[in-house]
Amino acid sequence: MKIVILGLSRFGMQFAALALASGHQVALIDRNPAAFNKLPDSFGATPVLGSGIDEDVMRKAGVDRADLFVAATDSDNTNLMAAQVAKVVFNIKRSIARVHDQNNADTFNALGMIETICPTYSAARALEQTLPKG
Amino acid sequence: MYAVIVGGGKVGYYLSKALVYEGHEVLVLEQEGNRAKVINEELGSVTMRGDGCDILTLEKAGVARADVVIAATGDDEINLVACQIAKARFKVPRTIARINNPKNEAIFKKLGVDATVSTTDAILTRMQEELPSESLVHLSSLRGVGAEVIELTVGPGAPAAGRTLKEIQLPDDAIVAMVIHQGEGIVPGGSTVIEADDELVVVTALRSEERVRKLISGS
Repeated sequence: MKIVILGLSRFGMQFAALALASGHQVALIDRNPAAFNKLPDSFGATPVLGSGIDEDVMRKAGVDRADLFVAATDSDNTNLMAAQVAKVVFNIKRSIARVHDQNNADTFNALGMIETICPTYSAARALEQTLPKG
Repeated sequence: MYAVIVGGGKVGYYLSKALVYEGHEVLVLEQEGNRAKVINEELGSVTMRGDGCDILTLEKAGVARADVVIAATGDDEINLVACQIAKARFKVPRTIARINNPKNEAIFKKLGVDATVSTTDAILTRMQEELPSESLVHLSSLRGVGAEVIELTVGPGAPAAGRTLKEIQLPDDAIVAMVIHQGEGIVPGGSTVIEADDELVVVTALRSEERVRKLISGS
C-alpha cells in the first residue's frame, strides 16, 4: 500500500525501513534538507521537502492518494495537527500520530478521528509485562 | 468571566491586559520563565508557568471552570491542540484560536475550534483599508460560501461612469447592493445610472470578482 510518513525521526525512519522491506510504497516528508542525507542511497522512499502541516506539501507527497499517513516528527502537537489535516483535507483512510504524552494520546484516540501511538507507554507497558506478578 | 489564555507572547500579553482591565478573571499559561515573570510584575499574578497542551497543567489552571480558552501562541499546531484538549477533556464552552496561516481557518472550524482569528488576514485587511490609491476594498469575506462583499469607487472615465446598471451587464453571480451617490445610499435597480465618484457596494462570487472590477472601475 501507499504510505506517507512525516518526519525523519528515528521512529519515522525505522517505520519507513520496515514498510519498504514489506514491499510498500513510501514517501517521506521533512522540512530539514539535511535530514535526507542520513538516508542510504539505496533507500527506496520518495523524499519530499517541506512543512508537514501545509496541505500543499502533503498533496505533493501524495497524501490524497495514500492509504496511510503517519506523523512522526519530534513534536506531539505537529503530529496531532498533521494527522488531522490528512483526515479532514484529504479524507485518508488511516491516519496515525506519534505522541509522547500518553494523556494526549488517549484524548485524541477518544475523539475517533485519528489513531495515536505512544512509544513511551508501549515500552513501559512491554517492560512491565515481563515482571513476575507482584 | 474566567478566561484562560495559552501563550504569553505579544498577543497573549495585550489580550490579558485588556481583559484584566475590563474586570475579568484571567490566567495566562506561559512556558518561558522570564516571560511569565514580566507579565506577572505588570499585571499581578495572572501567569502560570506551563504547557497549554498538557492535561495536568490545564487541570491545575482550573480550565474545567473556564468560560473561554484563547490559544494565542505563534504556532498554529499548539493553538489547535490546546483548543481541542480544552473542549474534549474539560468541556470548555468556547475556544478561540489565533491562526498564522490563513488557510488553517477552515481546518480549525472542522476540527471543532469555535472561532479563529487570523493575524495575517487582519493585518492585510487593515493595510488594504489604509491604502489611499486602492479603489477596491474587501469589506468582508464570506469564504465559506465562496462570495465577497467589496466596495468600489467609480473614478472619472471608469467604464461604469454614465451608464445604467443594465448596460454594465455584470455577471449573473454579482449584484450591486448599494450605490452611494454624494453621500446618500440608494438601493439600485437596472435603470439606475452610475456616475463618476459614486461608491458601489457589490456582493460577488469570488470567481467573478476580477470581472466585476474590470466592468466597473476598469482596473
